[in-house]
Amino acid sequence: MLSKTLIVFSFFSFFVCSVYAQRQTVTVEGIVLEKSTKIPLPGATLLIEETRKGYVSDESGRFKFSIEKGNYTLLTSFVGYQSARTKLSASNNQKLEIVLADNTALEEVVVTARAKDANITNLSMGVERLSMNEIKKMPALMGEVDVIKAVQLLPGVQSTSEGSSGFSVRGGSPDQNLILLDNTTIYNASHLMGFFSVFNNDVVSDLELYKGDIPLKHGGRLSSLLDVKTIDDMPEKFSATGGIGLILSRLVLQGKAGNKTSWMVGGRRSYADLFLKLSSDEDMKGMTLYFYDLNAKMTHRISPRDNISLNMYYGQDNFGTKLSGFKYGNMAGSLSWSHSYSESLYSRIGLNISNYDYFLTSDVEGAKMTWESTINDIMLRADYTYNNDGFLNLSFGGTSTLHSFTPGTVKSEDYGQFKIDNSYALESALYASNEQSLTDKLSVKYGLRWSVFQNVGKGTVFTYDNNYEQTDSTFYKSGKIYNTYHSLEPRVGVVYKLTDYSSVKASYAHNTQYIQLANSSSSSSPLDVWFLSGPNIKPQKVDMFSAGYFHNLDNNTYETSVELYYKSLSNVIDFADHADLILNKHLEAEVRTGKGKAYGAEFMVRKNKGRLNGFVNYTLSRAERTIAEINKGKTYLSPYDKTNSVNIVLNYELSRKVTLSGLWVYATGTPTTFPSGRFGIDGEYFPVYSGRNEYRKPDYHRLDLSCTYVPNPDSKKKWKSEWSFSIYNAYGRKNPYMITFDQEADTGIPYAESVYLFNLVPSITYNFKF
Amino acid sequence: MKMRNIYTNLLVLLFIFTTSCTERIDLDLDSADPVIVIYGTVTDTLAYQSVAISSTVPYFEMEHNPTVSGAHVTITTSENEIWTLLENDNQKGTYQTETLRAGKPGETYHLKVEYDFNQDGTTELYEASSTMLSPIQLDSVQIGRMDHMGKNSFTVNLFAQEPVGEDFYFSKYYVNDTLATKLSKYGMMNDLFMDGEYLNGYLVYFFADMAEIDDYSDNSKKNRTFLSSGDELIVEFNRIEKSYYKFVKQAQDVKDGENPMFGGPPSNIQGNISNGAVGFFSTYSPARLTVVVP
Repeated sequence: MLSKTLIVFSFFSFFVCSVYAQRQTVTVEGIVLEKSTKIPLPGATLLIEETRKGYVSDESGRFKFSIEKGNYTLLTSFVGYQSARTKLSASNNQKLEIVLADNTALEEVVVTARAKDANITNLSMGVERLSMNEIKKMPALMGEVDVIKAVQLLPGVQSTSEGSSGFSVRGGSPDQNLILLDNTTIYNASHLMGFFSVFNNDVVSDLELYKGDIPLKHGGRLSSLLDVKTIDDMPEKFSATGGIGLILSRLVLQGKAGNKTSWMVGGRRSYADLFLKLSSDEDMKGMTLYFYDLNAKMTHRISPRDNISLNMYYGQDNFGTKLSGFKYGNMAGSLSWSHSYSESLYSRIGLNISNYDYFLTSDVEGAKMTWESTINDIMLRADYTYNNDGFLNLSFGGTSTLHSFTPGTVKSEDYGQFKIDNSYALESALYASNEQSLTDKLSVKYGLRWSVFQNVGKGTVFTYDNNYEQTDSTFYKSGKIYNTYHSLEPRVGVVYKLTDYSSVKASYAHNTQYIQLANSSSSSSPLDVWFLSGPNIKPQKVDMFSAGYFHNLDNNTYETSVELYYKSLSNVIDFADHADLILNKHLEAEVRTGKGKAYGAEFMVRKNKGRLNGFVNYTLSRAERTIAEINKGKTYLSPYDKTNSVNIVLNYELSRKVTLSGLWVYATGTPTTFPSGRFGIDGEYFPVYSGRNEYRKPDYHRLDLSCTYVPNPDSKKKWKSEWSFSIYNAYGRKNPYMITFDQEADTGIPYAESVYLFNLVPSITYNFKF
Repeated sequence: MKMRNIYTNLLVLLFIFTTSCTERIDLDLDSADPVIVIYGTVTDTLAYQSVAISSTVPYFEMEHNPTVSGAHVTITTSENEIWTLLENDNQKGTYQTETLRAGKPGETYHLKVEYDFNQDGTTELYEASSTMLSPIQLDSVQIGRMDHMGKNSFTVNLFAQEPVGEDFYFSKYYVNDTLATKLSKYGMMNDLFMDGEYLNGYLVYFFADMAEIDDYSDNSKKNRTFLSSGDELIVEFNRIEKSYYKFVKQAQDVKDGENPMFGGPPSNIQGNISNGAVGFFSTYSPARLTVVVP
């Protein structure tokens, strides 16, 4: 079968061909419960007898998998319980409730199609879920579907600039998002200056975005948690998915080693540079421009109660010319052990490592140098869930992370080394939360996270005067804890069911952030420098209040919701005018702090079923900051404030062979600073500004279209394929990426120019699976 | 300067990847009240030391900025010598010392401009001070050639002992006796990476090759300075105060507007003139070397 892949590889090497695993699939999700008490059963195994594929319920007893349409038998088993056989008629997405009886009682297994109304009853607010199936239907730039680009279409989420992997949630900065890949922090989720993210489509199973009301086991960021999970099913046989494109190729292999071990290895590499080699221009040939990713995963069942799981991610971008080079990338890994002590107590203990670094080189004669910067995290965490008689649905645990940041080291042959001192800190937290139903209609969740942040030596702390000039410095030796902050972070939520099809919810969350990104530009750049709270910089805090009304129509075919939020931020960080954020020993002296405020309303209509499906959302919002030493102390708009934002994603199944998809995005132009006046020196004109972010760029809007063609939808062969044709920016809107100013060559009078990145971009994709 | 070059390369790569284009657009900008603009320099070269005074205008104003006439301008030296600067009849708004004057390294100069700019009937006083730093001793300058992104570049490589302590420099260039680099093209340098070291052919500036000028787009042409083999190049390397270094850097950074990837929000260029005036009063002692481009 692999040779077939190779043929396809070479044949389509001039086309954009991204590949994905499933088609004509439905998503089956559900929960495994104990019969008499209805407590969820974590770690239960589910096996589809026809395909011999297996799954395991998570710590809250839930499971989720994708499967091709058809009829199946699902065998659910859990140690100490009778196994249950369930007939599964998978014709559309569905939710199951599987109830297992313990061995003492011989009762039938009851299966109910449940929780179509999960959005009504769920206690979480401001949570968005996307499955990879849903994401893969969306039209995409260069035909290459991207997880983060899909996230940017959710209500309350904005992209920071065209094509960027940075996103803003409810007016927050991109560094206020915690991005986790299988529970490990990803510091910079971008490839190729942000046009692609680090997430390989074939490896990701689904994602959840928590817009502020973050589960208590996670924290340390103000705005959101983006929780990305890789595929977790256990294939009975070896399987492969792969593809080739103008931009990149990928291949994912999955298999089993014995009965207890499953593994997955995935990789992709872009190869725009191979096209540069075809260039007649000698220098273009000498250019390097690629990125690659590797994902690996291994799960081993030691005993029915114990699982060990190893996850790895490694990715790197490599750009270069003959005279300069630039590499950056993430490394993330985790080793975790999950154990069920009993039916009600489940634990997961893990060691997570996360690393981000970049490396620049210059080979220019007279200016040869290298520049390196590294972020390193080592995290230990223990998470427990305890479920008892339906009243307690407890999660508790603790985490501790050692941050080691090397902000920048520049070395040159002739002039030695210039280094910004490393910084170290320990960020720890203990948490406990509970979910319970008080009455049939009223459910609550409540919890508390206690976070502690400690700056650890060795390190030098500078003291600054009112003009941010250094007045003194204190050195702390290695291992010395020289500053401690702590914070109690309560998060509560309540849901009241009005009818079977409607509910109201409210929540409050407090989040604290101790590490932040030194970046004042509107687009994300790979030259990230993260810096720590410390004696000079207090932790940033947010209080978020939200309320919402959820209503399903037509027997849960349509989900509608309105959510309102109000956020009040303190010690919010911005940077001084003309801040020098790169290779600056006194970065802290460039930081200015104050208050922030963000509020908005998010409207969502989603249709999950039928030939026409998709969603429409509208967000009305505002985000502003008030910082004494910025904009003369006057309140100004956050760079991520977009008053109106509309996203429409629609898919229409024209026939079994043809599906049409369309995506339209609209957003108010981002706030920007334009000059109000000019002055001249020697015939050259320079701007004079009246304030920060007083203007906006022109509004952003764009239409993307795609058409998916499945030649043989009823094919019984193992080899499955489909074609996808897509057009990015179908009506060629020239959305400004940046607005620049220059002077007329003849008269010297200034004018403005808009730089836009994309006109209409067509692409073809060929997808296969075997 | 070096890091900036790396950025530029990255941006070039980014734009190769995308189908980036530009388009003129009209922006409707508010206009603020006019502000007085004062820009003056004293060097240790015997010359008519001069100060230019003008006014700000709305950004897209189609007329050039108006000059300011009738101001009373003086420069006081450390030795309390007062130089009066008179408006040049042929160059409105430019005020010059009455006789040829030369500053001295180590001395502080104090500029005073008296003028009723806001026309309220009372004269306002605008002041600034600057200390002239001693020049760096240049041993030699070499012009190198570098093949960069398919084009030939001339490089200016400097040989000199960099003094110990935090220092700031700018370089400007005269090609065949004509100033080729105005403020937006000054070469800026600090000694962050080589404080107190011997600058052994340190790269301080790039020129594009006049022989390849047709290979550049109109936009690229504007952003470059061209040099031909055989040209006589005067390299002027100036040690300056940190405040002036920042002024020029900030002016260069915001001249073209925002850079979404590597720049913060643009903000006002910090000058050193009191009373809300825009501009700068600087002093320096130029170190010059002349080379013929190989």
